[in-house]
Amino acid sequence: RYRDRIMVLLFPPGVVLTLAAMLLFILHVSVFANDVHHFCITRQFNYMSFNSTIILLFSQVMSIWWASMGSLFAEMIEDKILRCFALTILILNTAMFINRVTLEFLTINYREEKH
Amino acid sequence: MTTHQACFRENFCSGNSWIRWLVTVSSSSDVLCHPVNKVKDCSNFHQKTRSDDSRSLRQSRIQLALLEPMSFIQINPQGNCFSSCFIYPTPVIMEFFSRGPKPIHIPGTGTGGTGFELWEIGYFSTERSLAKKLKQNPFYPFFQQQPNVYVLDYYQDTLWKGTLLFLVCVLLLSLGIFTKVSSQQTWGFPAYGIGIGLWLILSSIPKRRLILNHTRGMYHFSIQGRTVCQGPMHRVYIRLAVKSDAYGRYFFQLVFCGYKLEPLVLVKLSEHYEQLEFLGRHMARKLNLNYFDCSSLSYRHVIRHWPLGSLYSPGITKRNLAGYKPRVSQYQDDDEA
Repeated sequence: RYRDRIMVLLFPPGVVLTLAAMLLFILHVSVFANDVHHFCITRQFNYMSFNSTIILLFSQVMSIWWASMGSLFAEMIEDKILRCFALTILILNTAMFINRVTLEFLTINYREEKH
Repeated sequence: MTTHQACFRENFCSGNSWIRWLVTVSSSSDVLCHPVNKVKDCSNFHQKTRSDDSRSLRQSRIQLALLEPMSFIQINPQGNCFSSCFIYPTPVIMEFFSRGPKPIHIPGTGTGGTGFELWEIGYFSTERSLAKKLKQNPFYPFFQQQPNVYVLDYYQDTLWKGTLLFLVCVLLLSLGIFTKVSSQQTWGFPAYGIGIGLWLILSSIPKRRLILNHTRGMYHFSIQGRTVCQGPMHRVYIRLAVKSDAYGRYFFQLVFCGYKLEPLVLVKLSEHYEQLEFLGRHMARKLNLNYFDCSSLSYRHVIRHWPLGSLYSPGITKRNLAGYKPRVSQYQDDDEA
């Protein structure tokens, strides 16, 4: 039955961590797309997510942490598909973090007052 | 004569091999010349053995002092209330007699505990409290369901942690305390807390059940009736874990763990290696499990269950008995492996 399956599948904690990291990754991608859209196309900087920079960076770090934990557990389980999936999520999250930081630096550079 | 003395001195200085000396003496021609030397050497040897004995005796006395609160089979004092029965023959007691004798409660048997036994905070969870619990229930944390079948029902302690986190974060969000710090939105932190707390509660609400079945030689771990894992006995063990802090002090933990099991910490913080080791060995002997020391290469492991075919496979070797000399054999009943 599906409930057994969910029980057994979800209780190795690594899978749950990887899934949570994936959800956070989707969230971060959407926020990042929104920021890029307002930064490059509409040029309405008030719509960008500057008010929640702290929580964004925090959740990026959290998602990297969870993804790394998940990939560690997947390495221990020695399931090839799971390992691949967890590593992919980890790499994507790291790439997302780098993107985020570059965007922040770009906007700081852009909005800096130069006399 | 002189050559013989030289021979004696050489042998005596080279170690306490008085047997070798005796052999050399008896093989040499003039045995009768040296009864004094012989006696002296023998008395020396006896002194040495006595000091060894006293050391081992002291150690065993230390362990006895630890064992003293654990005088095992006790019969519950509620069981023998017959003297009071004869003094007050009230209807309640007559009913008690008509129902038949009350079953005698032997500690360690029964259906199981409440499931909250392992929720002690680290400061109180010391080897002393573990010894107290072992006095009440010799198979702690398990309960003996049948002979050789031990059952443990428990909830994980992340349950109360998750509940606490959840409640605190709901309070923060509903009161609106931590939502904005100098034009930075920070309501995300309590939102995170709510999510993590919910997950912790959901994942630790189902009751876990761990069965050690020695008659079948299997352990069985299930979450709310659904089997998670089942396996042979050598995959479950009690182990001593070590942590060190910045000042170089070592803290020991007694952990019950196994393949695909959640580790159960029995003693969270302790500095007393010997007592913890003794308790761990004792529990492992009671539950008939493997016991592992904190360092992986150690002669203090007690291995009662070997993986199948370990005698024939080249990767797994038996314990190396030639590599060390046991100083005193304190654990003769443990040396089964």
